[in-house]
Amino acid sequence: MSNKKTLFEPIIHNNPVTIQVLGICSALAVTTQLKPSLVMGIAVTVIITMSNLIVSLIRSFIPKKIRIIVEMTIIATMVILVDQILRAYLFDVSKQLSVFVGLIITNCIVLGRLEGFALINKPLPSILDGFGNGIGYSLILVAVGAGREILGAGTLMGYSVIPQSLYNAGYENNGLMVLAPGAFILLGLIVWFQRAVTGHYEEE
Amino acid sequence: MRHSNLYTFIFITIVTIICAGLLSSAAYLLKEKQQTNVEVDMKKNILKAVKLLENEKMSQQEILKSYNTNIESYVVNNFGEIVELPEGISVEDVDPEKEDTKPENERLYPVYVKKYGADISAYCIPIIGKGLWSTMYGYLALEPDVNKILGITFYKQAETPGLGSEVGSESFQNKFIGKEIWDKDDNLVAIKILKLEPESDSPNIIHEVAGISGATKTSDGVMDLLLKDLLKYENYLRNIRKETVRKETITYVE
Amino acid sequence: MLEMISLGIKSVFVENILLAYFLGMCSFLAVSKKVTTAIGLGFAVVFVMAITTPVNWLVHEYLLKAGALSWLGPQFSEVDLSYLNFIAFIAVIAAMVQIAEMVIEKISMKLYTALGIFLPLITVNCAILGVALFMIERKYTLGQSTVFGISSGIGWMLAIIAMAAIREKLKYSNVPKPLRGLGITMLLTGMIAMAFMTFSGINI
Repeated sequence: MSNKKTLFEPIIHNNPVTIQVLGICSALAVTTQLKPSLVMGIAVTVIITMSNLIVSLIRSFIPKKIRIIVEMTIIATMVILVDQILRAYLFDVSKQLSVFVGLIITNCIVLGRLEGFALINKPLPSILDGFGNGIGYSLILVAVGAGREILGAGTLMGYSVIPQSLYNAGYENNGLMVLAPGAFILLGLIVWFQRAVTGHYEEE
Repeated sequence: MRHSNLYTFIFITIVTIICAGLLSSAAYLLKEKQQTNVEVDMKKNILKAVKLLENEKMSQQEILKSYNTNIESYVVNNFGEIVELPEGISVEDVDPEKEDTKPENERLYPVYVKKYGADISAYCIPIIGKGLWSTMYGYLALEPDVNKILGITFYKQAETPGLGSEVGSESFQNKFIGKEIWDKDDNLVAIKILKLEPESDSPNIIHEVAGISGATKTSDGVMDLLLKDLLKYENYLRNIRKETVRKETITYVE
Repeated sequence: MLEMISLGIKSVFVENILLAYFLGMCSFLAVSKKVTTAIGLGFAVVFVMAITTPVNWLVHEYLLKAGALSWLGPQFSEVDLSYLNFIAFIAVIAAMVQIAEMVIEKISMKLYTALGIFLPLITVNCAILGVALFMIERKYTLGQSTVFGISSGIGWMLAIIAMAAIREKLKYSNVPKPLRGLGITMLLTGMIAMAFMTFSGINI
C-alpha cells in the first residue's frame, strides 16, 4: 500500500468511527460541544501517532503472548506523560484535557491501530496511519460536536449562531441533542450518510 | 515467532522499568512547577470568588501580589473560634479534604478574608463535593453580612464536558450572586437548584437558582455540597452575624 | 447485606453502566450481531470485572493512594503515587485478561476458541476502567466494590444480549442498505437510551 493511501484512506473510506466501529465511547462523551470535541481530536491524533511509532520501532521484540499488556503500558505512559508535561507548562490546557485522560487510554482506536497496523509495519507508514486515523476520528467528532451544539444549545464555540428572529418565530433548542440519545441518533445519521456516499455496505 | 518464557519475563521487566522510570522522573522533575501552578490557581480562584480578578490573563506575579495585599487568611475550629496554626504551616496548606477525616472537634476550617483597609469586604470559604463523575472543588464568597453570596467558583472538576462541566462557567456561577444563605428563622438553607428558571413570584426566590439542563446529578451535587460546607462554618458565621447585628444596633443608638 | 443487594440491583438496572453511563460502547456495537456471541462476551466481561475490581481496589488502597504505603513504615506515609492510578489499573486489567486467556486455553479449548477473539476487546472496554474509577470516586469498601463490579458486568451483559436479540430480528426487516449494521444499531441504541432515561431519579 502506498504511503499516500495509508494516510488518506482512514480519513474517509476506512474511517475509524463509521467503518471500523472504534472509539465510539469518547465520540459520545465529549461531543456535547465543539470545543471539547476539538481538544479530544487533537489529543488522540497526537497520542495515536506517537504510540504507533514506538510500537512499530520495537515490534519485532514484543513477545506475542503479552503484546496487549505491552501496548496498553505504552499508551498509558504516553498519555500520562503528556498530561504531566502540560500540567507543568500549559496549566490551562491541561485542566481541559485532564478530564479526557482516561478516555484516551481506553480509546479502542489507539489499541486497534497498534494491533492492526503498527505491529506489522515499518515506522514511517505507521506514523502516517496513526495520523490519518487520528484526523478521520477528529472529523467525525467535530461533525457530531458541531451538530449537537447548534441543535442543542443554538451556539457554536460558545457564540450564538441561531438568529433571535428564529426564536421569536417559535423555534426552540432541542434539549434531547445535548443528552446521549441525541448523540446516538446524530451519529447514526452520519454513518448512514457516509456509507451512502462511499458505498460501504454491511451484510447482516 | 515464539519466545521463551524467560525472554517474555525479561522483556516485560525492561518495559516496566523504562515506563515507570519515565513517569517517575517526569513526576519528580515537574513537581515543583506543577505545585506552583496549583498554588497560583488556588489563589487566582479565591481572588475570582471575591471579585478581585481583573481579567483571566493576570500573570502569576500579579496574582500573588494581589493575593498578598488584599487577602488575609486564618483557620477556625468547629466552635467558630480562630485558631493559631503551628509554626511553619500556612493556612493555604490546610487541606479541607484531609480535615474531614479527623474527629469533628479537631478539624480546622480555612477562611479567606478580603480586606479593604481595616474593613472586611468579603469572606471566602472552600467548597468541595461530589458531582456525577468527579469531586468538584471551588470557593464561595459571602458579603460582609455573611448572608448574601458575593461569588462562587468551581476550578477543578471533571463533569461531563458540555453538561455538568458548565458548573465551571461564568453564566452558571453568576446566577448565585445575591442569593441568601439564611432563612427568616435564622437557619442555614441550601440554595435550591431547580430544573427551570425560578418563578418570579416564588416566595423562596432568594434561595433558588436555575440548574443546568441535562446535568441533574451535577446540580444535585452542587446543592448538597453548598449546604454541607456551610454547616461546617455555621458557628463561625453565626458569631459574625451576632457581631454585625450588635454593631448595627450601636450605630442606631448613637 | 440489604445494602449490598440494593447496590447490586441499582448497578444492574437503574444505573446500568452501558445504558446510563455509556461506557463500553465499542464492543457493544461491534459484537452484538448474534445472541450466542453476545452471551460469550457478556460472560467474559462479568468474569474480568469480578476479578479486576477487587484487585484494583487492593492496588489502590495498599500501593497508590496518598499515604497508602504507610504499612511499610512511617517514613513512607507521605508518599502519594496516585498519578500512577490509570496505568496501574489498565495494567491490572490487561494482565488479568491475558491470564484469563492462558487459563481458558489450558482448561477448555472450546471456550477458548469461542472467547479468544473478544479478549483484546475487553482490555479496552472502558466500562471496566470506568468501574475502577467509580469505586475510588465513591469511596466503596472492598465488599461494595466487588458487588459493584460484578453487578455492573451483569448489567452490561444483559444490555448486549438484549441488543443482539433485537438485531437478530432485524434481519427480517427491509432496512436501507447504507443504514444496515452500525447505522441502524446506533439509532436503536439511541431509543433504548431514551427509554432508560426514565429510570433516572429512582432511588433504591
